[in-house]
Amino acid sequence: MDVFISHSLADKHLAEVLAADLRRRDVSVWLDLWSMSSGESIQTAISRALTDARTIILLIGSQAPSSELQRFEWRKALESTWSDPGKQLLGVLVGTNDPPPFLAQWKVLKIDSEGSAWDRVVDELVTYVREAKTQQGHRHRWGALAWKRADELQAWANVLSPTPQFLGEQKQKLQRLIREAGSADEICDRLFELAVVERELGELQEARETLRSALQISSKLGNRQRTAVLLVSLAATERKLGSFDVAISRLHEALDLYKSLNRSNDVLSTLSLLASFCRESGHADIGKKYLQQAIRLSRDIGEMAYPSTETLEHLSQQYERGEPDGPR
Amino acid sequence: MNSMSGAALVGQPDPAKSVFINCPFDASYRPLLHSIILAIAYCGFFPRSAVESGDVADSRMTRILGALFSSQYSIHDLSRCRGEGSDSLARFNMPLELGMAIAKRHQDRKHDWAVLVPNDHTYTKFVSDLGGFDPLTHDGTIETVVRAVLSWLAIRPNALPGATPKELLDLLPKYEEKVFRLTKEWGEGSLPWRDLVRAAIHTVTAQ
Repeated sequence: MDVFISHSLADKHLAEVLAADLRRRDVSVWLDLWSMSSGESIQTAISRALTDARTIILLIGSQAPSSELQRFEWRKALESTWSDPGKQLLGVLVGTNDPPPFLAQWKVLKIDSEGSAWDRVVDELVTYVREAKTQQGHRHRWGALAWKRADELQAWANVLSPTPQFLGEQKQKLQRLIREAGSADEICDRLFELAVVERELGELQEARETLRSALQISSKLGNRQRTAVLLVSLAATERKLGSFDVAISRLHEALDLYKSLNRSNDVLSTLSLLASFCRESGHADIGKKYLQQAIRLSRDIGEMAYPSTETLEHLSQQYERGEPDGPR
Repeated sequence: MNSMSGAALVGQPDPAKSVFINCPFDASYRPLLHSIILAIAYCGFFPRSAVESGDVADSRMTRILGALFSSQYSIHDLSRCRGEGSDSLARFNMPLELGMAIAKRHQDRKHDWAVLVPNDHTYTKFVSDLGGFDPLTHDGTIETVVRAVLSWLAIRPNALPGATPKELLDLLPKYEEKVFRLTKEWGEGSLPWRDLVRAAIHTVTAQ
């Protein structure tokens, strides 16, 4: 089939006229109004037709897609271009609206609301539909818009960062909440939150003491999962303070707990941290052994390993080359 | 509703470009969480979460509502809503948060939500009320989650154009390496949400 026509309910009549004009020009068309068979779910029929069609025409009226069904069609149309590079999208825009951004890389033809350029647009569509049989659509660069949005994204990079004044207030509130806490569990959770705030404020010594207090309570309560999380957090704090031996010792304790809990991704993550901390503290050979253990485990876990085998192998290469570990 | 005053944070992301993520946060789900965060930033949106900065005196529910109600979009992964442990207990936090998003949509039409479910259709048994909606399906792999999230976000009127799963999957290892570096700084359990988001933004804008 040559063409699938996606349209809103409001543009039903226009879609039928377009389908009829395309058929008159020997283009085969799938239109829901004509092509749905009884007994088949509409989503199933649309998905199959979108897969079969070489070209998907998106008829876009003056309103954004208002129905779930039209959004479904747009989503499936886009997915079908990812699965089949030979498929093309063509936009037909009615009126003066801008096309939706996802069509920026595809050809979009415009008609005014009176349809005065109708025959020319249909002829042009037929040309593009026929080209699709031999070419790979009409993708073109969309750079300017992307860079504008990249700037906007970068400007967002620091939002959600708490101000020092707010952090100071949070610290006071947490200290009060800890004094008023009704259970050891609550005290432990609040101490962990307090340590995070202290870390944010750059008060590393205080954070260390807070985490140690939380750790004592958690160990007494026998909550192994929380104890392991606290140990890793304490290890990271010790590292920041330059106490690598203590940090590594804490990670070993966390590793044992995660192993006893059968939490494979936590074991993997802790092994990776051990490798990195050992290397940073001048014990590169021990670090390599931990990293090899981590790589073996990540292969066993498969795609859901975190860190992934790819990341760990990249770290291993950096170790071999004597480079600092970090993003490529 | 958001209890955070203007002086509390350096800034707030634009709600019209914010996407609230409701999914598991445990280590076994982490690769999927990271792929969702990166997919959102890659489409030009800002990932939001109940674990982002907030007032410590606020309840968890208040934090969830604060982040969810200041996001035009939300993504809810119900794929792990099944019995766990010897008592076969299921966690209901995620369906609860989905319910809040549906209620917000019903109230003001300004919120759009998507639900991720396993592609074996078991969701129709545990949330039959979703029958008639069109959930995004995935088989638990990064690739299928990325495709589902990308195609849902990419058709939005304020999305960045040109998104493809292949390009995003190529960026994922670079993002993960940045996150690993952050984990060394903070430890897994206390890694600030904004740093995860910042790393995603740096990954997608460094192309």
